[in-house]
Amino acid sequence: MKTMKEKILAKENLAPFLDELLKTYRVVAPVRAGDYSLYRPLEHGGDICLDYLRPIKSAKEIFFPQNETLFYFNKRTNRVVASPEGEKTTVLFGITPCDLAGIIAQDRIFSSGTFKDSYYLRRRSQTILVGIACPIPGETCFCHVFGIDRFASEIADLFFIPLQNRYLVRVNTEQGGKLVEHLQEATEADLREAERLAAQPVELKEEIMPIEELSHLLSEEFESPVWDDIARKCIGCAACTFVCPTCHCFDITDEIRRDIGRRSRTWDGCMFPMFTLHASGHNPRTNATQRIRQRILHKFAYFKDNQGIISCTGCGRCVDVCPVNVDIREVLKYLSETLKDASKK
Amino acid sequence: MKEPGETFEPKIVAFLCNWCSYAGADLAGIGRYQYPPNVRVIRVPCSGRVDPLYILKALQNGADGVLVSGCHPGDCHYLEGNYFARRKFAILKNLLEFIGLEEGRVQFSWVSAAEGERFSRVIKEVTESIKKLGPARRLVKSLDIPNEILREIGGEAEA
Amino acid sequence: MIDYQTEIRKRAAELLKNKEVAMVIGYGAASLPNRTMPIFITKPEEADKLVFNRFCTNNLSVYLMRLKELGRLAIVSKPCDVRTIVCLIQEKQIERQQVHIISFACPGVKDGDGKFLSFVCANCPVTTPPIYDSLIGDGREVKQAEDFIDNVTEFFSRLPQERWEMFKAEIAKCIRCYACRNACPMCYCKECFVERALPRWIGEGAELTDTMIFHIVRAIHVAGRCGECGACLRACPMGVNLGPIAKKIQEDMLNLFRHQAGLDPEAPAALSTFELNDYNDFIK
Repeated sequence: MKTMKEKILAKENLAPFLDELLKTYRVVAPVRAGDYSLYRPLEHGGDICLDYLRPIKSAKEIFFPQNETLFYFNKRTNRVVASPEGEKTTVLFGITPCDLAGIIAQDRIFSSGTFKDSYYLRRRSQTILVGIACPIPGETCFCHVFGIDRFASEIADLFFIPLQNRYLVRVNTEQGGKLVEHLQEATEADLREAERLAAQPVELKEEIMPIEELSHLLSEEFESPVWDDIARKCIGCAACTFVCPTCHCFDITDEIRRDIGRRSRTWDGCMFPMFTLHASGHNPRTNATQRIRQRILHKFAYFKDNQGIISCTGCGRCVDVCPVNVDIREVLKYLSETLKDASKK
Repeated sequence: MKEPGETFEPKIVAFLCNWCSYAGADLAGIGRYQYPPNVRVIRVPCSGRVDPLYILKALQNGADGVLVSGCHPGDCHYLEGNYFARRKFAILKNLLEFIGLEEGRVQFSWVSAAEGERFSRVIKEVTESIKKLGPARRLVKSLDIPNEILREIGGEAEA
Repeated sequence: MIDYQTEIRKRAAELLKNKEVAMVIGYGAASLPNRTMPIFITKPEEADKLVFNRFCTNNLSVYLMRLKELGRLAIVSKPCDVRTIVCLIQEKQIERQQVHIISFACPGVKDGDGKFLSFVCANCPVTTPPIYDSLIGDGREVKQAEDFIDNVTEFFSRLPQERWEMFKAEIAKCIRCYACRNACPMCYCKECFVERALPRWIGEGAELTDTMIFHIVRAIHVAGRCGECGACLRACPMGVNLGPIAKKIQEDMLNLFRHQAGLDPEAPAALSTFELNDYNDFIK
């Protein structure tokens, strides 16, 4: 892809590079947390941890936090004041390609169309995105199904590709370029090494049916008994939802002490039985079959219809965390086989 | 806010069962037995009615201590309520101290309707011991309202 | 390695062929290494999908409540899982004859990458099933001493201030997905206290004191009903270590009330009963 320029950063200089950024910016990057990593603000460049394939939670919480205060209010005086904005620009460093694709999906929801979410936008517009390539996909990864490029990104300001002992830095925007002005230019040799790395064949898991075709079939099979089979073991938690880069449902609640209160937005999940409980007491989705069907249709059919992209990046986190091994890859394969047979009849 | 020189006055929430402990508190009043004013009373029908959630909510909302008081075992107006309560409270108290909540933040007593003077003594003891522990910080939830915003919407700092 | 798998498959096929049960709930091969997953079979020829190995970690009793309307159910249960079934019977959530328990003397299960015996199993007090309908194997103790990682005992020996910091650090990992609650067969309330809005006991999202209260109250709600199966620990996507508080409550139930959950279907649950001379020293 066409980029503005390419730079080089030695791997041993990564921590000092981040320390330099920390003088001006808030820097968020994968940080070790027990047996895994999480995207967290850095205090020192050396805190960064790229040992794990991807952080256990996606990057969405940087723009769409689990708890976000919308505003404060006083019931007696009727005054309402929005929560204050953060001041420093953030550099979000080390975003995996699947998480960058997740940000594209979150942008569709929160910052496109007629109604833009000012809370999401004020964080998003203040953040510089620095992606990192993913040379070897993990056991549960299936991003290739969605055509995600593990060596480039259309929305990252900068994109780091790990070479032998250095990173090739692709500069995609001017704001990204500012961060790496002082770095050395990449040589032809560097570029060729990156191209070779990207061209290396990797063993990919079994093929899932072409996702576009499946997306079309899914909507037609609303009444199929196949959903029962898939839903039977689901226990209705939100582990898959909360680690997912594209899931975006939320609830809004008020917490009030005497007259003073705050209104907050918090993550919610369609797998919870009470998610669709109406004020009247009616609940259109009372069993696991209906909820699982909704989850899959939303991600793989409705979102495609409404937003033009599939609401899944193949990151595999849901496969890793599900307590009962609901494996979306198996589900998609099972669906494509069953639905192909059904549509033939 | 505390003025310099003031000692800390704890806020204590007391769940008193209607038939025994609340009546005992009433009797303390009638008998003019003095006791510290730190206790805020919540009357419940029976100590067995007190859900661990009430105690935790009180702590979360800023209570420095919680007292639950009921009828002596054998004297429960509803015959058995306080027996069930006793088991529940043992488990709750041990668990809270186990996770590191200061011993003495949550206390329990049996006070009968006839024990007006004793009620005042229990309150004195409980207040003294919680005073020594200092203000509660561990389970307290704040709405985290920045001071400028609090001024703008015309509120007081959370008491 | 004990071969329970063949016997389990045979038994399941028989039960389904004779129409003694409408469904067998058991373990099947997962899509990931070192895992199994719940499967539900209704035909004798499906019995070959059942597996048994050291990774049968789920507590399948969690499905009994929602599937009991299908008719009589057979369920492959480790002894700890059987304890939770006994608790469900004690609480009249299912009837004894509704469930056909297929159980065995348990070797214990392994955690994560399969290198260690699960801590929960290392200290298991009930390695043979308290009740059963089909016994696989001869019922004699098969558990052996194996290496395990103890991340619970240390907590007990620390000072209160340290315990508070450790507890806070664990709870800070929690994302309130409720996998622990949903994996637990004893959490069957139609509306959990966290879902109530009037009054709202704890806020949504992951505020720290709210999350602490969730875990404290859930531990108390399952006090005296916990079968020590470890399903909650394993369900957690973030590795929150709930072991210490679960262990503390179990110890108190045993030391204060001489009670262990899920051993006798006729007995009442510990917090639903009392003794006249219960522990009283802590009350003024």
